[in-house]
Amino acid sequence: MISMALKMLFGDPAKYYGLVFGVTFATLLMAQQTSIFIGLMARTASAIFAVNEADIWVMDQRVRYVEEIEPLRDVELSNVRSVPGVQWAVPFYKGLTTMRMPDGLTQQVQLIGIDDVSLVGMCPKVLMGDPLELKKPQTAMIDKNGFLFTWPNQPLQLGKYIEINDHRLKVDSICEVAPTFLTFPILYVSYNTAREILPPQRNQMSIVLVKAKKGESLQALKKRITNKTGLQALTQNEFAWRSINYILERTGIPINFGITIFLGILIGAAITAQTFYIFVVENLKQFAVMKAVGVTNRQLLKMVLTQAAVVGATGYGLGIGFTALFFKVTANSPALKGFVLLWQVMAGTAATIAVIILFSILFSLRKVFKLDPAIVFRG
Amino acid sequence: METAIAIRHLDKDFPVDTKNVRVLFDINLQICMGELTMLVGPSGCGKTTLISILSGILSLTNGDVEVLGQSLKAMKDTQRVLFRRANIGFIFQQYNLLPALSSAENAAIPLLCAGVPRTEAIECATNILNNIGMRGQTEKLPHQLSGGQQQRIAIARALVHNPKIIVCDEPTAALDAKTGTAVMEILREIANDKNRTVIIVTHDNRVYHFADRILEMSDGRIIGDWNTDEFIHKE
Ligand SMILES: Nc1ncnc2c1ncn2[C@@H]1O[C@H](COP(=O)(O)OP(=O)(O)OP(=O)(O)O)[C@@H](O)[C@H]1O
Ligand SMILES: [Mg+2]
Repeated sequence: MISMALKMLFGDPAKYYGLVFGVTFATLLMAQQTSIFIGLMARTASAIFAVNEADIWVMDQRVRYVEEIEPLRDVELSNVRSVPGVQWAVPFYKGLTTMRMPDGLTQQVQLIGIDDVSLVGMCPKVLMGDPLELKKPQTAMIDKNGFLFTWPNQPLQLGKYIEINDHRLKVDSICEVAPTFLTFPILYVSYNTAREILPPQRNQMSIVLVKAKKGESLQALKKRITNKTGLQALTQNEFAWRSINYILERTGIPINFGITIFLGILIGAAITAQTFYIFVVENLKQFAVMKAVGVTNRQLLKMVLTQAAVVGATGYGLGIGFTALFFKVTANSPALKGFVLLWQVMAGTAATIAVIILFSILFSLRKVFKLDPAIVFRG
Repeated sequence: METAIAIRHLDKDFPVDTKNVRVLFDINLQICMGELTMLVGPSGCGKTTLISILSGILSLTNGDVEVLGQSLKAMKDTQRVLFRRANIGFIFQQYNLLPALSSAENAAIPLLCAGVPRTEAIECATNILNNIGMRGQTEKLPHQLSGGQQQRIAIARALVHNPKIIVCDEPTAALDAKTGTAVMEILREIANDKNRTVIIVTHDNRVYHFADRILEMSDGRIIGDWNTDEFIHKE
């Protein structure tokens, strides 16, 4: 019976391809858009996950998002240091500033200032040069994509100069960062260098990074810090989620992706359901003949489910294949770097496709079950 | 002779719009094993409806039909499917073959759906096809075959599960005289088996002489029950 079902399905190639196309299309839209969406969310948090040495991030109460930091007074550093249970606390600067490009144009860059002594918050993956050089004044580390953006068509090299607010900085090391939400070049400098090159301002510190003493409860320490300083204290994970939630709530990104994914599901479901319905209706006479000669409804159900499963599996496989191919091809483009097809996305897409297919065959099956075999005698 | 089918006071209504329209009126009939019975009459008189009921495809309205001692009246849908699968072989005017399946696969459907293993079912179907002049054609798809050959596949499908009752609706109507005669010869052969009965609805007066008995219908009633010679003479 199964092989009969398959022969029926493949016996009509045009419709078979139509069905597979519908499923492939829906799979591709869903998997690809969901992956990009998740990738973007991961980028939102990647600046936070790049700093692994600290247990707790202390910042202004109003900060909701890693890219929008409210400056802190310098005195907060010593306030935090004096909280019992703090092993160490270091300043961290994160903000946008303007760099003058070699061609004279200006370009926004993400400036990260890390503690001169401990270098806590340093980029975890240094490609070229000695990161300790950062301790010297007027030196900087640039990320690889930033380098290629600033000096296109040049091999990675050290010793280049960049200019920020009339200060010349020597690029003494190059690192690789996980893509961040903003795609501007990233510059690491020492905290003191950051203070020197930024326009004079009363408050400059963005965040105080805290390491808890061994055995200290982070939640309790957070409370103590907040009580003492009135500042917001978050663990790495909490801050990451707070940033992601901010993006989800405050921007059109989730809505836009949601709409695309929803349309993918809808169009895919419509194409699949309609083609399947037509497939069944056009084969109604065949189903009636089978019924007449003794095929039961249960067997017909098995046949239709087999046909649907084959269509679903083929379409899903192709759709996932195309998605993977897309991310493979775009793996080196900075705009899409770091976007991957997670197995969770694959599983979720598979489940959705299964629902679409079941929904599609529901109407068709009703038709088959209600079918009166007496039509076999009619011309 | 053993009774194959007994029909008592059978009525059949079809719902049309909101009313029921009666198309068969008080049919009473016995059909024996080992006979070839033809059902003739003008178009629309109810021939197809009658054979649909006695083969368990249509439900009946009043009266009862007993086939091989089983009453069809009380059977549920699924029971009727299983009843057809076990006892009835069908031959239609339109052949009604599945276009994507080979001759042998088409002929094997009744066995396949009864759970007979595929190789065994195909072998059985192939044997029957070989016996009715289809040797060498068993791998072909229906569209590669002539009408007469397609009807032979349908005959093989009707015989493959060894049913006691073969029901045919206009089996020769789409065939030329020579092919039609060849098909009738096969059906005649089948009806010679004492354990089988063949019922054929037909308009085709060229084949009347193959019958043992001819039932004449008009307007939903049986108006004549003839032996073949009488009927041909009367015509
Ligand atoms: N499903 C149905 N619903 C309503 N009326 C029907 C239905 N099937 C058949 N009829 C009616 O029942 C009557 C008998 O039809 P049937 O098909 O049995 O005639 P027939 O003798 O086989 O005719 P033909 O020689 O043209 O095949 C006709 O008047 C037909 O219109
Ligand atoms: Mg008819």
